[in-house]
Amino acid sequence: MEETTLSASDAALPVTPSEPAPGSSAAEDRDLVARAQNGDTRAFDDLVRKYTPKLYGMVYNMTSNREDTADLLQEVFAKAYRSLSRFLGKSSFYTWIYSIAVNMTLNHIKKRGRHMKVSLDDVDTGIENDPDFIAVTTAKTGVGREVNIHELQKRLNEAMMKLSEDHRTVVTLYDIQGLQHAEISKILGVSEGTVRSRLFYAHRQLQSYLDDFVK
Amino acid sequence: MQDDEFEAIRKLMRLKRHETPGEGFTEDFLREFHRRQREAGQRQTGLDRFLQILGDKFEAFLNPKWGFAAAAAVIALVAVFLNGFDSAAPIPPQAAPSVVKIEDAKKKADSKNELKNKPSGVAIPVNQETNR
Repeated sequence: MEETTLSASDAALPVTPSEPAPGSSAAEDRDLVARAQNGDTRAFDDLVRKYTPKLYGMVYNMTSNREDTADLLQEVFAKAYRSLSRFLGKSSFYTWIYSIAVNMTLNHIKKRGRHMKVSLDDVDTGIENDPDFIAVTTAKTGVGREVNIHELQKRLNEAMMKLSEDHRTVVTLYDIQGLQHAEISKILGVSEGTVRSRLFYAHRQLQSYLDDFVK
Repeated sequence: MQDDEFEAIRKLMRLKRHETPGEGFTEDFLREFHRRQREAGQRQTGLDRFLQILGDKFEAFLNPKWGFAAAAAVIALVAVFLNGFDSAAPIPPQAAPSVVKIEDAKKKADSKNELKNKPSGVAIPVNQETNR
């Protein structure tokens, strides 16, 4: 696994009220990784707990299949555990494990080809209070319109599955997971320009698939 | 500018954050991870571990750019190999020096008194017999 270096500005992680500030998170990871490398299995467990929600989201949005996601994520952490002794800390653990997860997911998708089955997760009830959902359900005239959540979920997943793997990856990492262009370029091993142009094309495609929701 | 143009679609895609595997997933996941690690540890021989590490390393070649590089390397090797075969093809007799058997060389040398000071066992190409 090729390691990359991140500058302090590149290491900006999406900050929400429930997430710790980036600096403390990176320091915490360094400590956990060092302990895990010295044989402390509970430290690796803490890394699994910390990264499972984010990595689950990434893999799920790439595959739209909850069963495949759980299996694939098991393989990601198994590989990370086997390879941990070779992790030198030149990049953040976050970038490293994301790279592993993205590569394994893309390989899985390539192997499955056209035989990808869709199997969707539940949608949490918080969506009804999400400003973005409210924006979708409110037309420009201010008049509310009914949007079936499950129908919306189905349409969003179908639209994602129509994208190529490369375009689906950048939409997942940027729009859904909230990563910055620089982080994505490190994870994927491509230039920021490539990330931006893939996003542009992907957004244009999605707009055509979902134009009845964005008018 | 791109972000403004596609802000509506980006808001839509962000809604996918609300798709979750449900409460308790992470702890169940961790338990399953432990179970699989225990099973793998019980099943694995030293050879299995070696093959797994090898597999992890060569997984990099599933990346298309490395696959193309590997394919190019294989083609280059095959070309060199075939070229080597062509070089080893028999050369027409008039162009090539004949290697004389040691016994013949000795006989000739004895008769011409040219091999007196040469070490035994040296095959001398005919056209390299010197006029010394």
